[in-house]
Amino acid sequence: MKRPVIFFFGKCQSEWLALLMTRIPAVADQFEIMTSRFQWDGTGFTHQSPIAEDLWSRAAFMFVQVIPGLDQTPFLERVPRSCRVLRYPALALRPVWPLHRENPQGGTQRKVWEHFIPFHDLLGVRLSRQNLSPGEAMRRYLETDLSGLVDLDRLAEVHFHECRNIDVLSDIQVTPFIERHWQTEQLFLDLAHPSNTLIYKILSHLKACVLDDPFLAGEPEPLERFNFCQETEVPVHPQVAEHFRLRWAFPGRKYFMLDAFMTFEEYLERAFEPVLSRPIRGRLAHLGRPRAEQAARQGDPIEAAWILSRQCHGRWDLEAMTLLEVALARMDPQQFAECCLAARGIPYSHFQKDPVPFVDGPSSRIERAEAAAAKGETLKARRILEAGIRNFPGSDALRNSLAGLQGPAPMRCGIPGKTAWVARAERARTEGRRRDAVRWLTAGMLRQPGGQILERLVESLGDLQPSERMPAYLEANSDAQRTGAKQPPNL
Amino acid sequence: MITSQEPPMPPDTEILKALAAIIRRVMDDPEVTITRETQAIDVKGWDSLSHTFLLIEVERSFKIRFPLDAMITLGNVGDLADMISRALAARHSK
Repeated sequence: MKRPVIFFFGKCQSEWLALLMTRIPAVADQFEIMTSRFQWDGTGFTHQSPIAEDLWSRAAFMFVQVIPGLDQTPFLERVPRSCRVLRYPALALRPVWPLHRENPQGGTQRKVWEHFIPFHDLLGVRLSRQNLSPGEAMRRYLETDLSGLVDLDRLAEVHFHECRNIDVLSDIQVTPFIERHWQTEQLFLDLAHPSNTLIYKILSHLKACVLDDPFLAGEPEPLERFNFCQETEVPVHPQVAEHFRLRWAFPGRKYFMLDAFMTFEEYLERAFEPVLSRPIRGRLAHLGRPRAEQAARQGDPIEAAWILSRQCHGRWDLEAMTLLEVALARMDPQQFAECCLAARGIPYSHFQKDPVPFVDGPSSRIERAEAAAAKGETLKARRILEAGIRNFPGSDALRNSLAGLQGPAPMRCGIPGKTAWVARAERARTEGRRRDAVRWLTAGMLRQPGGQILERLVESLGDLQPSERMPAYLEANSDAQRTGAKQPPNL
Repeated sequence: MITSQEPPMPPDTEILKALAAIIRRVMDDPEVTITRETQAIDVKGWDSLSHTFLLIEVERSFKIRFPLDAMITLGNVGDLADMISRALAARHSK
């Protein structure tokens, strides 16, 4: 039987909310979740893809972003009367990035900045057109008195007034929260992209609506520091930070951009010198460390540990691991637990590879797996179920279905998978060989990098005395170097 | 009453001309044609985000303040020019 549909209409923020919604088993199991993105094409909003009539008729919930200029009537008219409509605001924070514009004109000017930030910096583009050397352009940029370009206080006043007006049209109001916290917390990563805090705030309301449990609306957001929506933070102009006394945009603060952490000045330097602005992959560890140290100095060891653990995520960086180890060793158990949660971020790129207009909950995965198994495609069925378990680790139905699957298990290619590394480490841990557990997990990180192994590694690190941790790393690393990281270490 | 320090109020065509220059500058499009009938949808880049920046820039350039509620109910450039005209008149009458 076809399931009812939850529609998300809006821009990128809607897509993120839909994606997070798919991660809630109770929702994904009952509903199909569909996003329909509206794109501003410079003159108006265009609907990216047509929606089949069958989907309209199955609409149970419609979550619509309130965007000035977006007429909601055409799609509100198409859903059944029983469909519950909830409106939530499009979020933005103009005053902090007063020089940025979303829709720049002309390809040539845009090229100067588009490789770098999703927005168009008016002053930067103006200076770029003057044939100045990068150094001179940067000097002039920094010397320009922003008060001569924009009245920041008035901008904030008008902006929040508009936000309040959008709130009036929405069923979920967030402007009072933003007004209370925008100077003390980083609620946005750039002009129009909120950080986790706000997205989870809206999500909790939508979840409460779908699951018909009003208590969920006040649910606090997870401790995950990873910004689900996007990773890039656009640095804040020091004059703006000073004017608004933004506590989170302190002088010398490094922001994460293009796989690198950089101050506002470093960001400008790269923006004016495009060749420098290529993603600096591989150097992340080197660039991330100063930011971690900075966070530690600011009295935020969890942030420091998160940065370091992210460096270790998906790549091997012994030095960062060592620093992480040191950071963890200094934490009390509560901080340690928070850090484990914070380290569990999943890179956004994972999701980008697999956009999910229709999302499988456990039951539909089981259906698909059973269909595949009926055709004799056991391996495919197994993959569907294993992927389901990864997405919904709490689903017994998926596990039972996998356990009951008849047919050959997939061939392993000689290198153990993530589960095998973890299983071996667990066995070593149970048998009291705590150092071996760390070695297994470290070795696993080298070959099958992933959040699960990292998490277990962090846990296992907690079993060891600080003095024992470094040798365990070194042993695993030395094994890996000797074997070219292709074979399991000789444990 | 107009004081001796206040510049005389520009005629409507002057307001429109100055407003068009501001729109071209803020939208970063020196070629765009601006008339009283022009709407945001006619100007590439004039979206809700840049609209706020435009109004702030208009206020700064004309040294006026719009009532906050009036800023979100503008239909076209003519409405904006009229609002500027009213704000200038209010300033002159003070």
